[in-house]
Amino acid sequence: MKSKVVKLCLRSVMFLVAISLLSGTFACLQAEEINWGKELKNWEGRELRIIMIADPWVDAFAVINPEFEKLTGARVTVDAYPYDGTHEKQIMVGAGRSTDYDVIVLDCPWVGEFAEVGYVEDLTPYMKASNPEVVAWDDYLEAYKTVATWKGEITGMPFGAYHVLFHYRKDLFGEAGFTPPKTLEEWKKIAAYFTNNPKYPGLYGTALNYFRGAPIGQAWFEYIWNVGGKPFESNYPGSPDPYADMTPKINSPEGREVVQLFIDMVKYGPPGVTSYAWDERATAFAMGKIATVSCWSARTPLFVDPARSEITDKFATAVVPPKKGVKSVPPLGGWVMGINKFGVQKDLAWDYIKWFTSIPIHKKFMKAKPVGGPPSRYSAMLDPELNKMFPWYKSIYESAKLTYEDCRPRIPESFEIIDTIGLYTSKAVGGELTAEKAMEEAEKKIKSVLATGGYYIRE
Amino acid sequence: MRKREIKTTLLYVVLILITFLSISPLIWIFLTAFKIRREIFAIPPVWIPKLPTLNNFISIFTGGFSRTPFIYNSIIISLSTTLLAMVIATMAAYGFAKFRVPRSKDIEFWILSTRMMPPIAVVIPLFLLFRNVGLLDTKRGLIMVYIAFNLPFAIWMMSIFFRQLPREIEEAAVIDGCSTFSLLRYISLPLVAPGLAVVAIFTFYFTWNELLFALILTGRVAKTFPVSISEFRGVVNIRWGPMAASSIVHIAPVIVITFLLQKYIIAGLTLGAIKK
Amino acid sequence: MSKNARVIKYVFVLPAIIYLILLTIYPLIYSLKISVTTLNIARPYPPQYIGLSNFVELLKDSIFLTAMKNTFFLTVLSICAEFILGFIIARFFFMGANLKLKGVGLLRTIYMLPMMVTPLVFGLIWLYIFNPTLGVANYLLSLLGFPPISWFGSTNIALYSIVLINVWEWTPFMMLLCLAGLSTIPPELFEVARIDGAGWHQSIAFIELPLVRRVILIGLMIRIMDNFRLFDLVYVTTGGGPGSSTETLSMFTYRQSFMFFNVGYGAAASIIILILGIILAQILIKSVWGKEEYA
Repeated sequence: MKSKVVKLCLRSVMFLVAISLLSGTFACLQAEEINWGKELKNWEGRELRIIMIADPWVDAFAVINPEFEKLTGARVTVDAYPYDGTHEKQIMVGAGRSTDYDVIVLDCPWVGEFAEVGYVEDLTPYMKASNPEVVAWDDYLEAYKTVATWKGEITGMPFGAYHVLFHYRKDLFGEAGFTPPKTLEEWKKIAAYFTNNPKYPGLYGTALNYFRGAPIGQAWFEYIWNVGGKPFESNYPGSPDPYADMTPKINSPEGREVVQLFIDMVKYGPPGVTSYAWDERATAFAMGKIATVSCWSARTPLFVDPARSEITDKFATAVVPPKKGVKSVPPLGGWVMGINKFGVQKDLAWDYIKWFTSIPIHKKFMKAKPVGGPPSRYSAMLDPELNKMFPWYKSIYESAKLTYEDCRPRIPESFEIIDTIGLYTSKAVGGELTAEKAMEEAEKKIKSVLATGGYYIRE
Repeated sequence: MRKREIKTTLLYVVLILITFLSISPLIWIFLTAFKIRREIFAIPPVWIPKLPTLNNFISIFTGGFSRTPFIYNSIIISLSTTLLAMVIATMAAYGFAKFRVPRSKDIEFWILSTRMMPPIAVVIPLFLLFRNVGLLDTKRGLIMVYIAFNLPFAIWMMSIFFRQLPREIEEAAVIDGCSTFSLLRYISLPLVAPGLAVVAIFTFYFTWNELLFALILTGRVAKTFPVSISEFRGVVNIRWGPMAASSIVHIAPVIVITFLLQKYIIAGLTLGAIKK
Repeated sequence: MSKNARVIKYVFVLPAIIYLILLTIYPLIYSLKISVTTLNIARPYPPQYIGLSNFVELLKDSIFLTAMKNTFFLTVLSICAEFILGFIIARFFFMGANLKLKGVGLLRTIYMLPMMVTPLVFGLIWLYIFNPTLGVANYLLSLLGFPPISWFGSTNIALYSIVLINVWEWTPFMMLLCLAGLSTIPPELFEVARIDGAGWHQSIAFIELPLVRRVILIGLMIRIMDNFRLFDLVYVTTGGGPGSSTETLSMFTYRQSFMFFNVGYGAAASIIILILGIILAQILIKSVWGKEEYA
């Protein structure tokens, strides 16, 4: 036990040293304050409209945007929707050639879709014409640059990169003598221990993202890597072209294992867990109803907000556990800001994007109350002040080093593929189909979607 | 006599229980609308808000999540639809009721069938058509669609009312040299005024409540109140308090109309069933 | 008038007919046109003509077939429950009205309020009531000693939850129709029946039900069509899940057309729905009015 503590301390010290070294490198980027008067035009009387997801940090925009409004004279309006609704409205904006929105905030799996159908601008020329210190492209982690790019075009500027982190109640873990699980098997045991334990009335082990459609579909993609599988033949970390051979590997032993995991974990969840999605799980963890949760880092700040959380100082984070003998691939997600191809204020939109994603404003976005954004730049992730405020940045940085940028496909068909897997996984969890049958049908369906899209599939 | 009293009392109890049960979800959401966040999330539930607040209502009329423009859109769209649909439907119904129109039975039958059409069947082509002619996300466009979907019911109901009018009154007017339009305007219409009220209420009611067309044919400009309410649902942070307040604001006019005009509403609902 | 009338009657009738052709028939033709293509409005490639492939694919699509089954099940179950409950409740209100009880009219108006509320709002209210953690439904169950129910989260239960909400909202409609039907029965009939020594069940079976038959048919027709295109309630509560346990025809088409933007496939589905709808409507309208006397 003691040696573990020492090890932990040592690791923290090393991490802090690493931070100070690295932040030194990037400090030069922050050294001079940006002269916004020179960088931004006067947009007096204009209204800039943004369409995006209503994730926890959406309120932070209202906190930060007045600064942009003061600098440029433009008014900024944010319309935020639920996950599916965001995708739907954004495609409708493009399909309807609408000028309603100037900035379109895309989830990374949608990048290929919007780029190929041409509903967003290629940002490369905008970036080239701008002050490189403001854009600070090299300050982004490599993976975030990749997810924002499609076939050489930059579809959006990253500003809200997510990693799935493992969250656990350090108080309960301490009492029970657990350490953060290193494998899925350990996690299962821990979840079982806390479920219906007379010592902890009303407490459950964990809650997976069971809600049908995108929630459970993306969760399937979160686990497929961590049981040692891959969704498509040439879709794996280090692949030269992740979409060259799209032969689905969904109905594989690993694919079925993920479904089985979802089925097995229901019994460690609170009643009604099968209708939980991102928010319900985060609320359950924040209210102290579940002992562990693997969820996007964008929700971690909720757990320290005393207005919404009863466990503000009782939790810690770690890298998500993989199956025994498999290397952890912490899933990557998150949002990028693109410009509506049919918008009529593209320069205003770019001014906003470059301002919002710049190093100093990005840091303000992290710090905004009540819930700030997730770090997407080295400068923020390694910033000593932010690390002190948000201790989980350490887990984010560790996850970022292990992540795989194409862990969910980013092709135009992604939304339908993820939803389809979600539908069939949900059917298996509900007992409508067996895991085998569910993955068999999902694979058949996805094959036909891919065939329509003209992908290479081996028969 | 005693027996009758017991029977009366029992009947009252049963009727009140049934009524209470029926509207209990509405009462619950009404109470929720006045609760603070903590009380909304409390288990066991707080039945009556101890710290009643108007903040949920304030939040839907002011600030970043203001629903005011959408409420305004819904009012404009509902009233315009009602007015225009009434004009077109009254004329058509009068035409069918008073003149011999060739194949009128078949046409009326067809008109009534269009009422049965599932909206989802036409909303896809309407979206594509509206995109081509620039009617997407306009109040005009949505009003046009709503009129079309209210016409069948309105024509059907109105023609029932017109057919009930005694022929003699109109014939007398014709002898007096009345033109067809002034006949409709000054003689027939006033006589079917209650029928007009029924149809107008139902047109308004349909339009005020409609979701699917508005969801697909409007964006941020012409968005209606129901669409903005539907956005509370989603998987992220349902704001139950403002959701409850919006629900109350949306159903308040409907409830007021129901109480004020209950006679007409019940007539409208049961007319087709009782009278031919 | 006759000369004038020949022209003038078209002035009256034609606007409505032209309007309906423009906004219902024309879109349908357009729909037919895209239903034989691969049109997807979120893809760069142009749509291809594929004949009837979409329709063939649909009839093999297990989710579409499930949607059809669910819609059918939901319609039958809802309407049976609404009718039985509606009839029973109507008899109570009818008794109240016959006894000339004070306030019965007011109670009836209050009673019917749920059906005046849009299914969207009614569904949202139930989403809150059925919420697994903060919902009042599970709390009440726990008071009675029952375990919590996963109202929208379990494949076995979700469709019944939808039916429950649906019935809760629309029983008042059936009740009003039955009440109106009962009110048209001449009171003498009941007298005669009583004198002949008929029990209440005989009165129901031989007097009330036959005489309110027409009302029942109309109510059934309206509710069948409503359920057939049910969208709002499912959209706000389950979105068709979990699995495809609450997928309805409208929801399926909506998902294909506006979530995946497979507009061609969605249009094909909507045409199948329409054909089913037309057949159903014709059967119902004719069974209620007969071809000659529907208006």
